[in-house]
This record gives sequence, C-alpha cells and structure tokens, in this order.
Amino acid sequence: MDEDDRARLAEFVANRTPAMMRVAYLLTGDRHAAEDLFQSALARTIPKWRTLRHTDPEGYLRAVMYREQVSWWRRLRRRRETALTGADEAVQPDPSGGTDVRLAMRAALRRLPPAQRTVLVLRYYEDLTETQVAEVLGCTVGTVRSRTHRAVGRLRQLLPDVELLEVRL
Amino acid sequence: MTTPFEDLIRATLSDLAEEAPTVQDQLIPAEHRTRNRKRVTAALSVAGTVAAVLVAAPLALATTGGDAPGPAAPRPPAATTPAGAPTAVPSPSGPSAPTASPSSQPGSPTAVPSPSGPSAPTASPSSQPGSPTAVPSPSRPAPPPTLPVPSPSGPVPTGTVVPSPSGPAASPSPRP
Repeated sequence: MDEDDRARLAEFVANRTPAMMRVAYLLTGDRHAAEDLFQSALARTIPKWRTLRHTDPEGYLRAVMYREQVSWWRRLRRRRETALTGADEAVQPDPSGGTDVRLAMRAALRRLPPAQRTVLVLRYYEDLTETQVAEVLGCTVGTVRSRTHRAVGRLRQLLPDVELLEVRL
Repeated sequence: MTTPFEDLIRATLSDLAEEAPTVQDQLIPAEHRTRNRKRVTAALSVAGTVAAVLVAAPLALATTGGDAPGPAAPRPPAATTPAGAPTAVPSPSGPSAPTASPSSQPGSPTAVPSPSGPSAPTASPSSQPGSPTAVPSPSRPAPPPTLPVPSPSGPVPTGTVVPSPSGPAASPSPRP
C-alpha cells in the first residue's frame, strides 16, 4: 500500500469511525466488544483497500461487521465472556416517563442472540428492508423474517409488562 | 405501519447509539491485526503442508514399494512330454470312474482302480488274447464272473471282466 492509499484509508477511518462505532456498539452492547468488532472488521478490510477505495468501502466494512458479529468463530470466543450486567432486574415504575421502559428494553436487547440482535439493528436502526438485510447478511428473506419474528417475540417474552408500559409511552 | 413495540425498539436503539463510545485512531491497531492475520495464515499453511507430507509420504511408500512382487521372470522353455507316455491320475476318492490308458507296450494293459469307493474298474483288453488282466477293487470282494465279454480283437474270449455292482459297465478301450 503506497502513501496515497494509506492517506485515503486514514481519512476514511477518521471520518467514519464514530458512525461505525455506533453500529458496533448496538450490535454488541458492550464498549470493549464494540471496539474489538470494529477493529476485526477493519483488519479484514485493509487488505482489500486497493480494490475497495473506488467503490464503497463503508458498505463493505459494515457488511464485514454484521457477518463477523454473527459468525460461528466469534460466537465461540464470546462464550468465554461473562456478562456483568443482568437483565433480570425488575422494572420499577419511573415517574420520568418511559425511561424505565427503555432501560428494560436495553437490558432485554442484551439478552438476544447475536443473529437476532443484528437483524433488529439492521431493520430498526439502519431502516433497511428485509431484502436489503438479506443481501447484507448473505441469507434469504425468509431467514430475515423468521429471525425478526423470533427477536420481537423474545423481547415480548422478556418484557411481560410491556403492554402496561406501552400505555404510558 | 409500525406498532408501539417497534417504536420502542427504535427509540431504545437510537438511545444506545448515542451512548456509543468515542474512540480515536483505530487504524494502527487494525493494521497490527492485519499483520498478525497474515502471519498466522502463513504459519498455518506451512504447518498444514508439512503435516500432509508427513502423513502422505509413508502411505505412498507403503503402497508403491516393499510388499509388491518383483517383475515376472522369463518363462523357461516348456518341457515336452513324450506322446507315448500317457499318465493316469487316479482319484483318491469319489465316484468318478478311473480311466486307463493303453500302454505303449502291447500285452500289458493295466487298469488302475480307485483305492476306495464304488468306482467301476475298467479293464482294457489286451492285444494278446489269452492274457487279460482285470484288477478288482480292493475294498470289495470280487463277485464271480457271470458274463463273459468277448474281446474285440481276439476270436476266443478267455478273459473275464468283473463288472462293478454299481458303476457303469466296463468298456473296452480302443486299440491303438
């Protein structure tokens, strides 16, 4: 990689790191895991930078991040981690209006499997269609639908009082 | 159309995204990872190749050398047996009928019976009338001669052939 390519790569990383870190943080739910995921995706992108610089490096980097998050090898490493924050805390009514619901939802999102959480991030944060999600993840539209359905169902199961909480939203 | 639950998911994800940590200069550690990946990939490739060679080489040697027979030696010229010395190989057991070949010396026909079993002895008529020889089976007593068989070569049938009680009838062998 010559100096020009490296300068462009450094500029791209400096400009897009905040946005990519947000996505990584949503995917992992943890600061250190988000940094690790972003660096892993960047390490896979750098060798292909010469061919990617004229096309869509950010799209490639995002796709690598999404697939890395749901990859089998990464899941093996993730099993050794111990979550210090539990999602079993009871939701207490909060007069601040909706904060308790969002905190409960945040805790429930952490308990989702990586594949389901990735689909939710792509559908509800990135606002991608089911077809686009399927293209990004390299799976079928049916798989995306089933994963979304399971993820939402799991969230409803983890938040049994959500109907009551939704009234106050 | 979105449900309130989906709106809650969107709002929570947006809140989480705002809380994402800000990091600086991710390029250098990413480059370190890239170098490490290349190094590990190369090392694993070399190790895999060496392992494959170590496994495959003994197998290849075992299949190609050692136990395989050597090249075939040229066959020596075949030994010719004289046409006038036929051999009769009696069967040690079984109901097969032994065959008696006529001797090259006329006048001494031999019939080799089976040593055991209900085989039928075969008697060859001699070229010299008056001296036929019939050897009965040693395992059974010879029945008394009942039916004289005239010799095809001699006018006066003097020899007798003992037929086998269960085997086929004795047939004279053709004269050479």
